Amino acid sequence: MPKVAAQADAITGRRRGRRVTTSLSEINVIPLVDVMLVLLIIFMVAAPMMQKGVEVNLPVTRRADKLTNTDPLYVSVPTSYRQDRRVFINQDSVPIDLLGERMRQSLQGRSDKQVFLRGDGEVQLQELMDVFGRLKEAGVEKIGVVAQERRNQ
Amino acid sequence: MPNYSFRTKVVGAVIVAASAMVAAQQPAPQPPAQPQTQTSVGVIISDSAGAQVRLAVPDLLALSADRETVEAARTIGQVLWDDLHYEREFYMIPRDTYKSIPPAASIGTVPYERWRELGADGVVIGTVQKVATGIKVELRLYNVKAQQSIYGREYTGAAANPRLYAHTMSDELHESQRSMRGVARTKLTFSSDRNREAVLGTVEKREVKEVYVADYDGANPRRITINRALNVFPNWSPDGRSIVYTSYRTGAPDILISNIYAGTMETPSKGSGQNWLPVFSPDGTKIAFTSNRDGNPEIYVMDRDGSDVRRLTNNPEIDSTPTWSPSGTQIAFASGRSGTPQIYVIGVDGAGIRRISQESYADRPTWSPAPYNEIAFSARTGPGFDIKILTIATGETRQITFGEGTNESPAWSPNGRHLAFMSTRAGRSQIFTVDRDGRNLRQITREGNNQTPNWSQ
Amino acid sequence: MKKTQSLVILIVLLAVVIAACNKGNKPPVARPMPPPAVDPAGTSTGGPPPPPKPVMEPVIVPPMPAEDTIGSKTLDDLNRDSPLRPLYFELDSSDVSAEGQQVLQANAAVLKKYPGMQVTIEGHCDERGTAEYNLALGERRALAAKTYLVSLGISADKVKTVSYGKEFPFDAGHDDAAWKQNRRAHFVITAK
Repeated sequence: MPKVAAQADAITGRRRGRRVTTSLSEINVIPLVDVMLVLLIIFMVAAPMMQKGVEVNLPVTRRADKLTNTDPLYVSVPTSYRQDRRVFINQDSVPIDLLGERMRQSLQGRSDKQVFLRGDGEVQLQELMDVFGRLKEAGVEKIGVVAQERRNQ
Repeated sequence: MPNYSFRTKVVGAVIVAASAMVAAQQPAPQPPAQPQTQTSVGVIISDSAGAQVRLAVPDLLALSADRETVEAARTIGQVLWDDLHYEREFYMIPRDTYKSIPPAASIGTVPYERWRELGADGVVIGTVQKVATGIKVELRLYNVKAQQSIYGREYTGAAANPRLYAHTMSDELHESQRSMRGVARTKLTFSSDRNREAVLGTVEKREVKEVYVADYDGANPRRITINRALNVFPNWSPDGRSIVYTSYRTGAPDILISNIYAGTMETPSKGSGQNWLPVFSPDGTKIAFTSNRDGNPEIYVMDRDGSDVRRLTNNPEIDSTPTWSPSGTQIAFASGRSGTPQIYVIGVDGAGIRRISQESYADRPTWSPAPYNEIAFSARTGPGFDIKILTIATGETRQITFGEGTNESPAWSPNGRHLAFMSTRAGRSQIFTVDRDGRNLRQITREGNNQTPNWSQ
Repeated sequence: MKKTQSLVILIVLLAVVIAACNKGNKPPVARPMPPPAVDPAGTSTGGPPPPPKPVMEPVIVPPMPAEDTIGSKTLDDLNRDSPLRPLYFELDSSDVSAEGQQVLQANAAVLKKYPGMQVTIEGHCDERGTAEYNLALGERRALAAKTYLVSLGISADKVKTVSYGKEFPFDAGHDDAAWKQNRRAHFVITAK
């Protein structure tokens, strides 16, 4: 005997529950990683002079935004990732399986859901996809790809 | 009901010599005694840089290989995690993220580095062992950074309900680490038609509603009344040993008290008029209720044994649904005297009546425990009702449910942090709990229709 | 001859009762409704009801069943096809409407015909009120019906009242038609 008050709705007449939305007629199934990348905002930033984090050979770019964040959260992916599947949150070495949970913890109480990715130029895009996916899952909304600005000759 | 006798002692870094025999929860509601000489120096994991302390609770180690012990080890870990998560005092690291971390080889050897990697500030490691009297459960909280045990407990008792060990540890951890009272060992009572029996003596098919009791999380439901009639609006006595409710077992609504551990009943109103919605006073000595004995629904107060009946209200419109203030000096109730049901407050001496709600329809006031001076109630917000909370000092009202089904009959948890209520958001009438800020919604009942919850002290 | 006649009456009576029972399960059809009671004081003081207005449908007074129909039925059978009709109420109200007064007049006639009959009037409410307040409202509805019956000369000790609030709805639906069915004072015959 559910005691739900129905909405005054002349067409549907008797129906259970208020504010019941009619069923979505079709749901398109999109692979999870695709959704994540669609929703992630990715942009490039120039590496600042003083860097937090481990040594990586940053990729080189012609143009990049200035990094203005005063307390940036870095995720570094060094070449050793290929062997040990470990990345770094700032200076802290973390196995990739725990990246999502550690990132959730790091984002707690932060207003910006923004991470700066310091990926080694040698790291392949396929490997970064896994990192992106886990960051998105943890609630990251923006990823800044940190790069070295090429000096004009 | 089984009687659990816990042997409690403090283990770990802070060793307290004496161990005490205490009776936990059933039937005696007193929590296990706190050790007398416990020092707080260095035993509290403190917040680092404003972030919440992060705790992990892996499965306990089963030191005996029998199925019951293995099952208890898993249950206690999961329930302890749930209990700690419920109060939102700690950041509880999801249990599926530490599946890969090997269990501690023994209670003393903890893979700290792995827990640090996961971001844990503290980890609760425990063991379960089969003993002659049932099971022995040892639980320790380790500070991961300092790599030492900072809090420990050892319980011995029956193996029938391993959840109770987790509930006890959770309450003690909240007490020792956060100086707060958890609700893990509290219980809910409510009215349910789950046994699907038909009321006798009517040609219409009417299903009986009986009074039930369950743990705060809905586990261990037990039927209290067996009279094949309508039994509604149960209300706990402060000592948790009695439930007063409205029963139609004689054909008309009357007040019954079930002493749930003694198995006895009392009928305090002794058959004068029709009486409903009884509520125990905070000290348990009095009962406020609604009665038509003078021809119209009015609020009355009597002693628990039915003596010294006093009428509080006198109005040609409906006066109903009383609730006591924490001090026992005032009663809030619903009255139709202004044309629509609204919440009013009156002194237990019958003086100083005033209206406090400004709704289109407001009922089921429930006064929060101290220190919050608030009244939760059901407010008509559309075709159905939503739960609102009124701060008495300011007169401000906030809403904590928002039109999903109808939401009625709020009841405060004893620590004032949570509310139980009835909602139809999942289809049938079910009991839910929600925190005072409207977050942390949980469905407690799933079987049959369930309504009018009340939370034990 | 006499036998067939009473059989016909019985069938007509049954049809009327069944029609009344089924009414609420169908979507409402447009038909002129009598206005609600304009004189709530009249209901409580129990003065004579206003004469039926010309726009109203003629009052259906159940024909007096043959003596043996009630006498031979069990209480359960009697309640299943009750000669006593329920009366319905507006939302949040315990005022007896003009239509309700006519129902009560018809019920009073039955009660007078069978002096041994005792009844319980159950007050019921729809789900749009709270469980708690509805208990009091149902009590007021049952009491309003009883007060009116007493004003028509029915002895008060033949009529008991009990409120079930919204605990036992007659129609489990969640729309206007169901709610209308559930806001009622319902008669249960307890002795005949």
